[in-house]
Amino acid sequence: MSRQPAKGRAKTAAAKAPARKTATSKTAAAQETAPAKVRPATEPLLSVADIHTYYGDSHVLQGISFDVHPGECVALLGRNGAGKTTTLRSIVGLTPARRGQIRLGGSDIVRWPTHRTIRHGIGYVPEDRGIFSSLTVAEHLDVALWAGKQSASRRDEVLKIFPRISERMEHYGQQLSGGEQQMLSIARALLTDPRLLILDEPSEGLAPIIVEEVRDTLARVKKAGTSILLVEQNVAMALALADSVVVLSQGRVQFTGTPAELEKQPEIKETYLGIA
Amino acid sequence: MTFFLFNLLNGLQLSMLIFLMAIGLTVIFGLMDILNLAHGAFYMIGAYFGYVVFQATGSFWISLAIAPLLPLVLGFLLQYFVLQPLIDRGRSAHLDMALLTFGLLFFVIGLIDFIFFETLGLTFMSIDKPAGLDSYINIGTFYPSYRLFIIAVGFAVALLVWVVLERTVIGAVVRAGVDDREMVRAMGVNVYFVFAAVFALGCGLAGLAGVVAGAELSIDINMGVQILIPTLVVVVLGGLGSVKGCFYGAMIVGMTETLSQAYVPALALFATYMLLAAMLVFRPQGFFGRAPKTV
Repeated sequence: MSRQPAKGRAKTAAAKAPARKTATSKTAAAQETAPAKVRPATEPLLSVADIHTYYGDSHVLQGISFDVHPGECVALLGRNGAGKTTTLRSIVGLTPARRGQIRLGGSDIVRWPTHRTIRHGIGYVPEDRGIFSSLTVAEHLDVALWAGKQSASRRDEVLKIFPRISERMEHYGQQLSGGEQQMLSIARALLTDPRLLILDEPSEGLAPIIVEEVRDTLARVKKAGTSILLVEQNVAMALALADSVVVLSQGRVQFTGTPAELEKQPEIKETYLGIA
Repeated sequence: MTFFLFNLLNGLQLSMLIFLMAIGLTVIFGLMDILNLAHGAFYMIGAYFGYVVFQATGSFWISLAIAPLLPLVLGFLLQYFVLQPLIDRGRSAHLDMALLTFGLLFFVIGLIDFIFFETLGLTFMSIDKPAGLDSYINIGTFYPSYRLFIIAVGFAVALLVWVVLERTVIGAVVRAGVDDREMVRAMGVNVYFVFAAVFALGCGLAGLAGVVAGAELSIDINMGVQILIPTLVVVVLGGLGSVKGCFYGAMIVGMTETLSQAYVPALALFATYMLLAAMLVFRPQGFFGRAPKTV
């Protein structure tokens, strides 16, 4: 697979994808000329370029492209079945892309096994939270520390962000509430000291007050300098956190821009997100 | 009373021997979902290699220390270079694995038969018991000290495996893998290596059981198949991936086989299978089996 020059990689994701006569190309073209849409001058931490992913013969992702820059929060939005979760799974290698390029910190990771990708600087919080029923909270953290080759001091740092977790260390995963499980899942992902935190629907199934807690926690994580790639059905929460938004539909990028730009595109919100 | 005590200890001894076999099989099945019918082959390899080492050194203890290493290394290579690539290519159904590993069991039987019987002319062999364990102890009846040694080894291994699985990070990784392999990968753990290491340890324990059994029972070509059946029954009774279940399952099978032979010989042939059938009807997940996966 040929490598793109650095200058080319720094362009907007939509510009990397093949031109399509869809809202994507129109919106992306509009973004190219708008001063507010200029991306940070830094090299992207994560660069997803024209990836194609299949489930059997089903062509699920059909040329997804976007970037996540250091310290940035990017929200992947879209209706059910748009390809959001598959995009995340392709990035971490759980459902590998058959074509395209995924670069993390300058390395092409598209063919890497999942554990290698994760060790290269990703923390992954899956849709179902991935809490092990037979492990205590302390054991969840121990496994994450061991996998990430981190010292116990890292645990102390992370637990400062999650005081409720530190009170439940001897409880088993199945004994935690939904909010506590989500906090544990995020804490576990942060223990490896990732450069990029990937979260799939962190607010799903949580009470509104817990959703606020999750949002505030992610805001603190972002403020600390960790990049975030967020898949979220709760658009309000996603837009409150995101610096950049990517809207997917039927495995394609339909919009790339800032939350403010999305607000100015009611047809995108209505067509692809189902909100007025 | 003396007769009962004698049979109780015999049952305990058989239980521990079966436990040594079944613990590896249940963790392999629970963690990797691989029905490894070649487990009996690793038991045989341990016994035969133990015999070879014993013939070369004259020491039971050296044989006990070295012989399990061969099935351990072979188990690692089998999982890492044969089974895992097949699983990656989508050949991970229980039938695929059962056919492959059952074929491997008979390949090993054939190979051992060729080497030891066809070439060397050896049929029934055994490893000499070490000094101090080749006599009898008076516990109200004269009981072979080596059988007490087998019981002690079984308890020691059970305790060691329990400590490793329940009290160490590696054990937590293995338990997490039983719950949800994909999530363990997504935490940055090289599950291929963990799987191969667990598979290897399971095979090493089977080899250890082979050496231990080689000094009490005869080492012969049928030993791998003979031990495999009660081992599978233990795994089903105890529940997949459960050390506690494996221990209790082994106790039930060992005691049932021994006590039925002693007290109700007419039942001895099928008492264990009645237990198996009842378990499959009323509690198919086993005593300590549970619905795995994450919450």
